[in-house]
Amino acid sequence: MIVAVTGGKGGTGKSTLSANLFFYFIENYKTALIDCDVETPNLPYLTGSEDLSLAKEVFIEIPNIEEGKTYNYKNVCKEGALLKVGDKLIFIEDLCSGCKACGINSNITFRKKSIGKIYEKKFDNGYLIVGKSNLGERKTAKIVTETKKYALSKNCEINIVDTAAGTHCNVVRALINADKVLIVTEPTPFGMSDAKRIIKIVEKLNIPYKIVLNRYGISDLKVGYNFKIPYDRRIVECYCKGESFLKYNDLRGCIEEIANWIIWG
Amino acid sequence: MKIAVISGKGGVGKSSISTSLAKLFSKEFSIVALDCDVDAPNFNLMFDVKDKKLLEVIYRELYKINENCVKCGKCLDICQFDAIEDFKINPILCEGCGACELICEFNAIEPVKHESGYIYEGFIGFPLIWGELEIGESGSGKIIEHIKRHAKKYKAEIELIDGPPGVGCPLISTVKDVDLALCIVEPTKSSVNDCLRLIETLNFFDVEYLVVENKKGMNAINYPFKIFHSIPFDFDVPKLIANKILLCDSNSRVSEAIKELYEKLKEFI
Repeated sequence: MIVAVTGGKGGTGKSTLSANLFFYFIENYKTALIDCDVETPNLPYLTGSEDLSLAKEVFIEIPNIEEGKTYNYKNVCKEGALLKVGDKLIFIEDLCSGCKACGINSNITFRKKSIGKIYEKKFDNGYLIVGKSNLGERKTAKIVTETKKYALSKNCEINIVDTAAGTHCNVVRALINADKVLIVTEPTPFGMSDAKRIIKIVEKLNIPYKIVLNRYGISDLKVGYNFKIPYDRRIVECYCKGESFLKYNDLRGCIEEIANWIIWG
Repeated sequence: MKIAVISGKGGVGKSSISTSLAKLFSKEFSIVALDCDVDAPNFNLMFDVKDKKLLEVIYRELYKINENCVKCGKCLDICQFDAIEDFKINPILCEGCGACELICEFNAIEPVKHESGYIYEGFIGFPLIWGELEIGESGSGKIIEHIKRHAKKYKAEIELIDGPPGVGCPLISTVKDVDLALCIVEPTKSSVNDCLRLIETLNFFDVEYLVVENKKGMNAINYPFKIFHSIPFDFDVPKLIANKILLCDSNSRVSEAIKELYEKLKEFI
């Protein structure tokens, strides 16, 4: 079972929900918690696990341009990373996405470039797997895909994928292959507008989803939802400390309801 | 002068601070506001936008396989983005690099023009230009560049930019030509960690920045960087935002702190 937690807007409580679901499931199921917010992964802080170990490095292949060498390259690079002017090749590494189009019908060869790393921590009954991009890296989609692949190789019964904020390609890559999706939103005009955008994607991908309304109670805005989590000082406190809020029975009940949908549907 | 309000982590208060700053600036300066969070443009939602106008549609190329296909499989091997499966190109995963078209010997792959985003303009007492990425699309950087191009026509004294979260492509496009970046941070480990990543990115691209602490007092934390200004934690702020009340117009104690921030920023102009 792969369940993705997403939301459109940043700061609506995606990672908080993911972490609490993880601590709930790990009591009875072998569970992987997968941080696919590869630019700014925060699940280590929300699970009190800053002692991660390096599991794998993620590479792309970029052209290996040697000075003085003649290349029969035609300007095919759509990113503007590689340009032939006269006899000279200009390569801007930052713009290269590693698509390898420049190598087709040319004598360009490739070298590996690291774009990010995958970290892990083993728990008694599961794993935290975290993808993290190298700084200044623009094209980070492959890290998302590789992080998920690595996590799924652990063969856990339940896999919780925490996506980045937004509705861009990295979010879509994190959602693909999920069996179920949880959309976390909040009763603000922002939360509602962004949730609508992410719902469109999930519907396009044809994945069953439910809406979790976080910070329930901060407004009277009419929002359709399936589950709710109240706006509560105890949650803010636990979040700050990097702890789960399962010790509070009423809050545990909120997580339990969502977990039941994940398992039983 | 171009000022961008950004944060590593989402939800720390970028838009609530930038909307208030824009309103305060507009009373004393000619300003144009830009919403470069094209994944989740929220700035316009805080205001009643008058005469929303579509300025531009942004296109990009993606590819599709036609009936000439003999299923040789070369395109499957070359695609670095796992976008081709079963001799079909998934438009959501296609990055439009064109490698598949180049490698195909049977003219079986052709480019198709595809709407990837939109740029809008509206008036909220001052002009606002914002972009919207078509859902599931890539190419936010390009949209941001177009937003900035449209904003130039106003020749405003202040261009106030509401930025995207993160440290990736859209953030880099947002900050690379600004005069000042305001990094919003909250007193949590996640936010501090993300802010450190943000600062490293800003240093990498040589961008001037100031760090503004939001929600001061929510949690005890030591910052590993200098705080330029602090805005206090108020448990009721989400309620104000939910009701579309600008923080600078509220009776909350955050209102004073934001006005102080504005006064301090004026010294940089």
